[in-house]
Amino acid sequence: MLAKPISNYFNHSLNGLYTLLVFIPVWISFSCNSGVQTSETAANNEMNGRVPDKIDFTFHVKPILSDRCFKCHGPDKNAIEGGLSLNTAEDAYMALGKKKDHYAIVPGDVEKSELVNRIYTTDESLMMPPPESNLTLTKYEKEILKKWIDQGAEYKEHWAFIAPKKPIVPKTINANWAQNEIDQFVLAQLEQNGLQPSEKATKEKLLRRVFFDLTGLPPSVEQINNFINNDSPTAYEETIDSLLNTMDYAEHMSAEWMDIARYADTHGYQDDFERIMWPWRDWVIHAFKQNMPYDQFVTYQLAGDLMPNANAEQILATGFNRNHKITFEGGVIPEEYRIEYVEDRTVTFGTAFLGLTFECARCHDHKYDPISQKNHFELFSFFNNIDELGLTPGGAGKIPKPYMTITEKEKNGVLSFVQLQKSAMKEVPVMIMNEMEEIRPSYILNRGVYDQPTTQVYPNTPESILPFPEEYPKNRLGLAKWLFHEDNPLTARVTVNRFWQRMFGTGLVASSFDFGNQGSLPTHPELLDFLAIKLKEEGWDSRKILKYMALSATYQQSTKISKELQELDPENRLLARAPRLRLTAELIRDQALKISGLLNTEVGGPSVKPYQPAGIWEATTGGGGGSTATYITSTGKDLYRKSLYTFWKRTVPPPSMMTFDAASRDLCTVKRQETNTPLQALVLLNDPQIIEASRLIAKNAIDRNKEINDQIKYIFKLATSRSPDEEELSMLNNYYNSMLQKVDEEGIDPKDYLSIGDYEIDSSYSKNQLAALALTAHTILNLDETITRG
Amino acid sequence: MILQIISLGRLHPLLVHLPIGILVLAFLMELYFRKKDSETENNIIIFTLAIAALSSVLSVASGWLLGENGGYDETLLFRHRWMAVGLAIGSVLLYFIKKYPKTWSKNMYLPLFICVMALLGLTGHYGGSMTHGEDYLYKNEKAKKVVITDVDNALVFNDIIMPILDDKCVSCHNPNKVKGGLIMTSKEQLLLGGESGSLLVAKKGEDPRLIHHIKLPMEDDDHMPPKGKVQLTNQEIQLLEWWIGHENCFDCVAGTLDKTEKINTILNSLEEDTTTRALIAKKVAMVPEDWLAAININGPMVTKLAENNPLLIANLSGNKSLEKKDLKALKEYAENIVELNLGNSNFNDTISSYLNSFKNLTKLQLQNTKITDKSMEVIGDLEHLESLNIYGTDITDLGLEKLTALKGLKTLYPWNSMITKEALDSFSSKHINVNVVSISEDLFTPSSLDAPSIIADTDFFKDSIEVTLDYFFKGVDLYYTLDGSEPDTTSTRYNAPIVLTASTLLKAVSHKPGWELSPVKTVSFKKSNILPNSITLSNKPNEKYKGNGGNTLIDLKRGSSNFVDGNWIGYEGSSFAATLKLQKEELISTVSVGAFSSPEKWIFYPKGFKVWVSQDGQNFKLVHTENLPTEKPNSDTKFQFFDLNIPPTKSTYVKVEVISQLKNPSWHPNPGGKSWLFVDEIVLN
Amino acid sequence: MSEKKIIEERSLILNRRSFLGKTALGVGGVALASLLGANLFRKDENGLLTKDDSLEGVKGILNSLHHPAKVKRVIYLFQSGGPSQLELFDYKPLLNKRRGEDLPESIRNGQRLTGMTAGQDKFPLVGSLHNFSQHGKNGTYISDILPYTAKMVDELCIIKSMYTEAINHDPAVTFFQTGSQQPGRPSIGSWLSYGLGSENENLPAFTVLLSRGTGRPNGQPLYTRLWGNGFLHSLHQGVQFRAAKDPVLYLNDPKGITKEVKREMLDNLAALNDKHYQDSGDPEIKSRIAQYEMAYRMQTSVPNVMDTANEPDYIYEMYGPEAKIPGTYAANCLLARRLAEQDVRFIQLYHMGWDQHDNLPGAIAKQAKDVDQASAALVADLKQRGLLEDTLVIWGGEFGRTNYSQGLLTDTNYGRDHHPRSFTIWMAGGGIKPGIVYGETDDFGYNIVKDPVHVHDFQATMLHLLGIDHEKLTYKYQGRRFRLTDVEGHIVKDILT
Repeated sequence: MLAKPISNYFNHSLNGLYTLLVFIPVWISFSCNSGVQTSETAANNEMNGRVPDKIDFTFHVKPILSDRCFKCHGPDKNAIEGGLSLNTAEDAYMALGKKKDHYAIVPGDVEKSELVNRIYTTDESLMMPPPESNLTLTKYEKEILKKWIDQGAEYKEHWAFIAPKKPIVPKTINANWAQNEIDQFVLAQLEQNGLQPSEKATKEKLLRRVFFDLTGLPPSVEQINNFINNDSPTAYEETIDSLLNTMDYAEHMSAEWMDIARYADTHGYQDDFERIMWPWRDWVIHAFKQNMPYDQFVTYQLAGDLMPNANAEQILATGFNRNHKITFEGGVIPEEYRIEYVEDRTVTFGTAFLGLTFECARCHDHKYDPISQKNHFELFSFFNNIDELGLTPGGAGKIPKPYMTITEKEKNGVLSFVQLQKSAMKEVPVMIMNEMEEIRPSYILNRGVYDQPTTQVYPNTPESILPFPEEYPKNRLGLAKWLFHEDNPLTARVTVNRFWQRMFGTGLVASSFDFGNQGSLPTHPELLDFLAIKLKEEGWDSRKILKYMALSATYQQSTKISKELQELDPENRLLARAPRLRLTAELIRDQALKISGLLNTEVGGPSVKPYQPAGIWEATTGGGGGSTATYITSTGKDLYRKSLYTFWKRTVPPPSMMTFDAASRDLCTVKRQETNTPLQALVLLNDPQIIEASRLIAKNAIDRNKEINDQIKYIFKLATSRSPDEEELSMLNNYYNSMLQKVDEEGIDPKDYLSIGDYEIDSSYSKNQLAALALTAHTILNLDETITRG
Repeated sequence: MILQIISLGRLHPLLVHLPIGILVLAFLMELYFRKKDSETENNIIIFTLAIAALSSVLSVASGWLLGENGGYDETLLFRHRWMAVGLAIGSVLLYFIKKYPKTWSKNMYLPLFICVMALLGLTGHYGGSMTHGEDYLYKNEKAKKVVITDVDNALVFNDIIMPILDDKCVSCHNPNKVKGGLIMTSKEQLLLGGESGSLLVAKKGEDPRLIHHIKLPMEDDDHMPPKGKVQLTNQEIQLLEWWIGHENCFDCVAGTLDKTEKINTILNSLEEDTTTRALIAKKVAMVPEDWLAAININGPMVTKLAENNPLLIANLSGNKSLEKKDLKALKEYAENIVELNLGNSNFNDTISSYLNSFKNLTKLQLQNTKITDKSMEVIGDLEHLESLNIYGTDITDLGLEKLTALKGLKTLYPWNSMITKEALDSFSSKHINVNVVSISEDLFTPSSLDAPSIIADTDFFKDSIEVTLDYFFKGVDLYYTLDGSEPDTTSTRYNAPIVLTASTLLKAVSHKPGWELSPVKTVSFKKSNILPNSITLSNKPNEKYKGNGGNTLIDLKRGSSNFVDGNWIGYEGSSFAATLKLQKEELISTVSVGAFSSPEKWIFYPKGFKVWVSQDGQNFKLVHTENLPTEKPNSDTKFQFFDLNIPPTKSTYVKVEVISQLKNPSWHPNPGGKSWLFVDEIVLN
Repeated sequence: MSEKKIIEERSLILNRRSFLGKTALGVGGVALASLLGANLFRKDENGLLTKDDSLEGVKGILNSLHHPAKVKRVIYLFQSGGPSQLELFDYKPLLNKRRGEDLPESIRNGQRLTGMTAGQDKFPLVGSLHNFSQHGKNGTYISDILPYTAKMVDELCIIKSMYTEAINHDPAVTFFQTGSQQPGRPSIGSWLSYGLGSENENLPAFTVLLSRGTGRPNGQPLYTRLWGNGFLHSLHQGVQFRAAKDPVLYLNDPKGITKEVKREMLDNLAALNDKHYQDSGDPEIKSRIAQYEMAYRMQTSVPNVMDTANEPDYIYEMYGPEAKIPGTYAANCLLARRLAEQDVRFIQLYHMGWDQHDNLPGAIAKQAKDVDQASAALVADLKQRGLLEDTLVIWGGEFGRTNYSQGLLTDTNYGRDHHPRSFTIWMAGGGIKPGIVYGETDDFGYNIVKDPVHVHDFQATMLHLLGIDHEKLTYKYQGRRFRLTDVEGHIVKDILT
């Protein structure tokens, strides 16, 4: 049943790839001086204004149609204007009008193609897109569409819906650079663009990079020195192996998963009471530590409760589906909100695993992707069958059902990883999924509104992606199986793309949340498919694929940007260099804790409350009370836990983390923003945590080194993983001396400055010296290089 | 064949312009060359006349054919036709006279030429009247054009539809040129329709004839206006359809008719802006983007009023280091600037002379600047000025007089300047169109006194505390008491910060002669020199109001009326006991418990207290029991410290039981419901 | 309970300020200027605006306005909790006449109820216990608990026909502020910051001020996402100005160091960063240097604007006694005016505590006292300074309240549940017709009978006044173009001048 369409896709896919391979060199010969050509920019790069000789549907035409035309002539059958859909060839070639006497597209005949007339006309009543849509086509885009029709108006299946097929690894002219296949794909495209890869990064940079990417922490000075002095050819690989086995790795991977799973410690709507989901987080860390294969990891979370003889671990994992917001607002209509919860689970499933925007199909058929409203609610029905309430009676402390209770017994059994002993409670209730005996019927909701059910629907998946196999159970377990079905075109690509995003800052598909028609096109389509297949073939082993990426020469390049490269490829789509990435909110704080020696490396357990400016929760608190009404800062070692464990109040998230673009955890997020704002400067300059860390760093530097220059070098190396050059050293030295003088001149009150933060340093240190050095460390912690993984 | 002839006729408009131009040229040459009698010039004139004669004949011929076509005002056509014939003959004659001069004819030549020129003028005029309408030449363009300033008040037919018809249809369908028997110059004629029937009424399912013809494909012979004529725009067609759709109402006002979003947009686009700014916009050129970018390099300063609009707004407000060069920099496009904000800057009389470049300013803001009457001279010259802000300046009555010249002034902000009220009143009465903005002085005069503010760092102190009293405006005396009695004007008058060294209930009032005494403000300051080491609670507070557990009671932070602020702990339907462990053995004589009551929220003061002491934390001795009366019916929100005086005892542990009412009293709207107990602090002394 | 030690705090701010001036700008100031020149705007291939780069905070994405603006800034006095229109603006004597009678089903007409009154089997009508009297040129009825607002009625445009779709606080407030009931979209202020940028490069374009009412001090909570940037660049998030020592989070320098020491740190930092830029070539470093300078300037400009010590007594008289107490609504209104004078684009106040399900007559009187004088004073103060001409002031909550009593109806007491179908807000300022009442409800004060105004209409109108076509200010996110008014919104032309 499946074989036929798939073989069709396959043919299309190969055609596409060949076209691409043929087309790129031709194209390059015209334009290698005017800008970068990747398959994506080719479609959108209008700056050079030259219409390619051979128009490719996927890369040139589709982005235009989707963005400018599909709103009224797309897959949403109910929104179609003038009876025309440009979604498929069949529809687009159809005769139109009452008399069926004209055509939007007549392949090869520009004159007869009404589409061409309509986009070129100046008559506002005929013009497409119509003026009131606020959409327009550029001259370049019109030319593309015209030429495409002229060349036969060939349609192709959306690339992401065709299952990946192992591509041929390209040959390159330069035979020495590549470390593995990744590099061959990357280099082939660089060569086509007449570009060279960058030189290899310095050893210390590379070590810093791989430390941050795999563990979220910087290397220590000793680790840097050891690595520099280790000339063994396998030193790098050994380092990677050792990092992948650390608990830090597991925590760092978990931190990303918290965004995807929209994890938070509160329920998220009005009053925003505390919830207990941290045992689920403990499980995620545990799973990463065990290197649980990704398919199993996801299956547990989607449907652990439905697995045969499900054990407590599998059930706990289903907490993933309950991390959504839950309301406690007295007056709400429960069903309205219950629908929201099921929607959230559905949408999260789409974004996290399929890279598709399912919420668009809630009120109407998807405007851009072949997902109908029916598809949406069929998927919805998988998640609609737990015995939950839209509004749980009671207030603070009530845990919405269904939940499991973790007691000493489970802790001693299969849930040994749950840090129950850290909680003040003997038994903790955790929300989980639990299928009801009787299936709750699901309906298509008119306009997505809870009280307007129409046709009943049953569990099913969008046929455009992959039809749901008959033999699979029609429940979440079946859905998980479908997700990891051999022929599912999306799961592996979406997953491997996210891994790529971890290591390179941007995915091969930049819109890691959207693989649909409106999403970005892959910059290296064959590489993406190669990696997707590799991931599958190697048993969905996350560590293995990350190591493979880290070992590539592409990954190991320097980040240095030449002027030429900056102009040719400002967004680094061709990967002729490694990206410079600002550390995430979590990593900036964790790094400060780590290098100051403050970091408390305990794993798991309930969230903690580090420093936060006073009064933020209190200013917005309402009448519900509860533990989230006031912020009670943790004490002692709990102040210095990794940011992964920072208490997340959804309606008032930690401001310093939000300033550095942490996800709000309102919804599933697979890619964070990367911004650069004055408020970030304020946090780094004035957050007591940074100042306290500076003080500790200064103390440690004094403990280890006698000479001031050595102290500064030590601090600089801790923060940036490299030694300062002469000039930098002298600048910092001058600064230090100037600060010492300021202490004498009373511009600095060392006692005050050194009293910031709870940690007490014994009084044997010279306050003046310590303050001046702490200010120097404070400066170094603010360096762009310090908060960047280069 | 016939068709071909007709289409030859269509060449007429093209041909007629030839003889006109050429004859005039010949005439001018004749005048110019008259004095010289050279062969060359003569030949040129002969040649010119030949062409003129030929083209007039052709014009007449084509015109004749076109005239047969019909649809023209008969009288006009008759005159035009025969005059043209005369003209053609005249031209031919001129040619022959010039070419073969005879003495008799030589004298006729110039008079004939003058006649021909006159004929030419008349023929042209009649021709023009036929195609463009009889009044074409004399019509005053301005008077004809309908200007809509508020489209909602526009008459749909007169102001919107008729101008379209005038513009696109009437040239062929007027009483002089009645193509297809249709005249479109008046309501009656429109209703009458043409040869083929009604213009506006349609058969079911069909477009009315008017629309039908317009919508026919351009190639169709019945398409209107005919190919070659200026076509209706899509918007105009939509307006016609909309009008006909409303039963072609001739007297309707646009605002009252239903309209789609689209029609609305079109209608709005008809509105013509007649404001000063719009008129200025027509006079000045667009500003290049690079000039704007350059001028704004250090942050936004000059912005365009809107896209595709040449006018600018310049904002230099708050600039304390403003110099002449800053205004000079704007000079190139000073006339584009209609709004200039110099408020709160160091703008002054020395720089103000530069204002005269900005002659198109309609709004000028000079508030809180150093300008004086001197600058008003320049401002008086800004003829377009509509809004002027001079609040907080030193401008006086003299300066105000300079504004008399500003005819367009609409708004003046003179608040807090040196202009007297009398001068303003007289200015207002003379310039009734100017809105002199002020707010009535007594609008916000307080009518009653408020309680004073009591300001201190904290409510708890160890040794002593300084307390300040304050009132938000001057001329008010503050009185206070420290003994709990109600303060009045006989109490201590406040003049310096009060230093308290013992627990005190401070009460204060405000007083102003002739006013009623303010309400009393009360704050309780607690001395607390015995700090407990730790505290344990007998039972946990309610999950919703658990604060920081027992520590809430010894953190020296008072709760507020927002009882979820984390400084209260709350118990629902239960009492509790707290055991405080001291750092060392202390002499204790009072235990104070801070509590909250708000019957509306089911929260009540405690019913009573019990106090025990202990040396070892094991054996406790009951030293005090106190019962409080039940609260009387009320719905007030209030706080109180309950001071429990116990026999002075040395001890290391103190245990306090706070006894709850447990249930709402019988007078409560929900009698018997579980009541709440809220405590924020336990203080030992 | 006692007020903070405001006076001392003020003198500290003055000391801090005396160190600063424009000359203090270091290396980064120059860098900023050079950066601003280049490549500020990016439009996508459509000419529609998409990409949102780090430097665009100063200048908005709209190169110029869609049409000339009537106002340059907005002060939005948001009354959180749902103020009862029936006690404040919408005078319905019929409700007093028919007090206690059940709400006719023909009037309720199937309107959905909140979970709080869904169980009630009777809906006894109740009129206001507070009297109304007529004010202004047109004899507009205003409640006696708003005496100052009543005096300013000729400046206000009172809209009695607002309606919304949400019946509960969280979704309703979120709807007003972001155009969607579910969280995640940018708030109004963020849209404006994104579209128009900041007129004052030393202050954020979007500021937020919070105060807590006395009518129900523990009423509805707020959420920081209400001033969140959603999917827009975080430069556009609302910056909360607090009454605390740190008026903006992390604004204050650490204790123990002076401004000069801080300046030296920044200069040193800029030099080191610049050196690293030379080595690595990443333009992002340049941008960071500029952001540090911006942060430094905020450290001066924010305390300056917060320092109200130089306001004369008559100003305090206008705004009322509480204006001296930081964090109160009155103090925030005064601050709002100061921010408006500094050209801050969108000034969002929130006053909590309007959710009177029970004990309404007493509680609403207290709430009214909190806001009445200061709101009126704000309008008057803006007017005398010439600011009202180009400022839009909005007063209103997320929905109204029912015309029937929630809970027990006694002679002196009643409550009202949420009512989304009709409620009242007022606007004043540039482009708005002053002294008019727009829209009408039926005699029961339940349904709108004339000129309904939907939340999206309100938003569209606000954007229109600011020179923005609400359909054209869009942001493409996850494949879709989003806008504040979602897919709806009509400009309420009748209230415009």
